[in-house]
Amino acid sequence: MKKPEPDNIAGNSLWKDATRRFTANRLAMAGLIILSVLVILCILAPLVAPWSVDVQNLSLGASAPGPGHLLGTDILGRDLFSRILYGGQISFAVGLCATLVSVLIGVSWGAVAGWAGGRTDAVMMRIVDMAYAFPFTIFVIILMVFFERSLLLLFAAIGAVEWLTMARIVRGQVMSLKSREFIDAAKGLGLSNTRIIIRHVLPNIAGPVIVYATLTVPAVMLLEAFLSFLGLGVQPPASSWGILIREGAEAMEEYPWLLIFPGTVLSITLFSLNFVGDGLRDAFDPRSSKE
Amino acid sequence: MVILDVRNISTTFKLRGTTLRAVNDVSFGLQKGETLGIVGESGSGKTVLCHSIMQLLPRPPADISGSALFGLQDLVSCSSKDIRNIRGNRISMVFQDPQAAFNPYLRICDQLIEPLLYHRRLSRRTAMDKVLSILEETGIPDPARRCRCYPHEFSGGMLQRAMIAMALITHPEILIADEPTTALDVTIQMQILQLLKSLQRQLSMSVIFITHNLGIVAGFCDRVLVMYAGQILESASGDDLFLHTAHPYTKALIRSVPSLHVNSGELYSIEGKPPDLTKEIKGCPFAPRCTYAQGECTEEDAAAGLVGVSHFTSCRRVLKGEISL
Repeated sequence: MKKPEPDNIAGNSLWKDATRRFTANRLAMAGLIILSVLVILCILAPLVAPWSVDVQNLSLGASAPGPGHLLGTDILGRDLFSRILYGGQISFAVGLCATLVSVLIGVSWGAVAGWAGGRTDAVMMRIVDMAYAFPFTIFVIILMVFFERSLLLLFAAIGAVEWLTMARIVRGQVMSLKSREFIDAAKGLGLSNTRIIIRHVLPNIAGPVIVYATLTVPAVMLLEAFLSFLGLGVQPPASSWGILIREGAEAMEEYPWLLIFPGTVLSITLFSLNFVGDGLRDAFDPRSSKE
Repeated sequence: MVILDVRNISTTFKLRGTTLRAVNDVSFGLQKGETLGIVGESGSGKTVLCHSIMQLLPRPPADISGSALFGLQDLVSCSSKDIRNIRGNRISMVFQDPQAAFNPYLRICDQLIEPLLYHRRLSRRTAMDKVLSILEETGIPDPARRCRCYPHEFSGGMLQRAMIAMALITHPEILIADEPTTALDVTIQMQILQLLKSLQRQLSMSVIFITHNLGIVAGFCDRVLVMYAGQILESASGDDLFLHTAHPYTKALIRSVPSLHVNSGELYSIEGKPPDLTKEIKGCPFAPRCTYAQGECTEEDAAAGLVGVSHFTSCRRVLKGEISL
C-alpha cells in the first residue's frame, strides 16, 4: 500500500481513488487513448479530412487505397477516409447521447422502483414490461410520422428503448442492497431516503451500471445503423459507420476495402469501449484493487 | 431523571393471515446516565423492541402500539422527519455485525463524517477534525491514516470501534448497542466494553445494551430486563439479578452458563423450546418449560409484582412466596 500523506485528508474521494486505479490499468488507458484519438479526429473532421465529404468524382469510381485517397474511394468516387471521419461524428454522438439518456432514465426509474418496493415497484416494473413488449420499429415509425425527422429524435427514440434493461438491472441491485445491514445503519443515522440512495446505494451499483452502459454504446451504434437502413435514421449525404458498413457489405466482393476500413474502425472503437468499461468497473470497486 | 419512558410497547407482524406477537406489552424507564441491559435468547424480541422504538421497522407489516416518550416527543408516533432528526443525533445505534454495517464502497472517514455533515451541518474540515479525535479516543491507532481505509481493510475489532465512534460522534443522549460484542473474540470484547464504559462516563449518556451474554450483564449493567417471548419476565439491578434471582427463567439462564469450576458432567440446558409467537399465549409464557410450574401458571393471566426495591418479577409462585430460587 502506498503511503498516504496525512495532510491530504480533506480532499480524498471515491473519484480521486478511482482515477488513480484507472490510470494504473494499462489496457484501459490504451483503450481510452485510442478512443480519444478517434473522437478528436471525428470532431475535427472539417480540418483533418483531406476531401470534402460530398465531393463526388464519378470518373474515378471506386478506387483502391492509394496516395491520393488514403483509404480509397467509394462507388461514387467519394473519399472513404473523409466519410469515415464524418460518419464517426454521427456514430459517436448517437452512441453517447442515447446511452446517457438510457442511463439517466434507467437508473432513476430502477432505483425508485427497487427502493420503494411493494405496489409502486409493481406498477413501475409493469410499465417497463409493457414498453418491452411494444415493437420498437413501429414505435420509431410513429415518432417519425408525428414529429419531424431529426437526429435529436433519433437519440431520444434509441435512449427510450435502451433504458428498459438498465432499469431492470438497477432495480434488482437496489432490492438486494436494501436488505443489507449498512442500509439499516444509514437509517439508524437518521439519513433521509434521498441521501441514502445517493450516498449509499448508487455507489454500490456503479459497477454494473458502468459495465452495462459501455455495452449499450455499441448496441446503440448498431441500432442506429439498422434504423438508417430502413430510411428512418441518418439521411444521405450524411452518413454513419453503420451506413458505411452496410454499403461496404453490398460491394464487398469487388471493393473489399469499402467494408474492411469502416468495419475495422468500428471494431477498434468497440474494443476500446470494452476495455475502458472493464477498467472503470475495477476502478470503482475498492475491493478489486491489487495493491 | 427518566429520559426515555417506554410504555406498553407491543409489536405485531401481520403476514399472510398469521399474526406474530414479537413484543408484548413492554414498559420500562431509562434513567439518565444509566446502563440498561436487555437479555434473552435469540428471538425473544430484544432487537425488535429497540427497532420499534426507533421506527426502524417497515410499517406494514409491523404494527406498533404503545408509546416511547423521549423528552416531549413520542418516538413511536412522531413524523418520519422528526425521528430522522433524533436518530444518529440524539439517539444512536451500534449494530451487531460491524462488517455488514459499513458501506463497503465508502472510506471509514466518509462514513463517520456523515452524521456531522447531516445533523450538525458542519464544514468538512471541522467535521474531519472531530472524526480524527473520536477515532483517537476509541483507540484506533494512527487515525489520520487509518480513516482513509475502506471497511474491508479493517479488522473486526477496529470496525466495531469505528462503529462506536460513529454512534458517539454527535454526543447522543442515548446509545442503543445491539449485541455490539457478539462478533468479537473475548479480549477485544473486554476492550470494547471498557471503552464504552469510559466514554459513557465522559459524555454522561444512557446506554441500552442488548445482549445474550450474562457475564456482560453482571459486570456492565446497572439494571437488567430479562425478556422471553416478547415479554419482560424479570427486571432488577445487575447484582439482584444474580444474588436474589426471582424468576425460574432467569435462574435457568444463569445455570446454562458453563462453569470452569464445577465439573458436573453434562451441561445444563433448558428443556423444550420457546413458544410459537403466532399463537396467543395464556398465562406465563415460560410455564411449559418451567420446572416449578403449576396449573394456575398456564390457566390464569401472568402475574406482576415487586419482590424488592425496583425488583420486578412476573412469577406468581415467587410473589406468593411458595418457591425460593
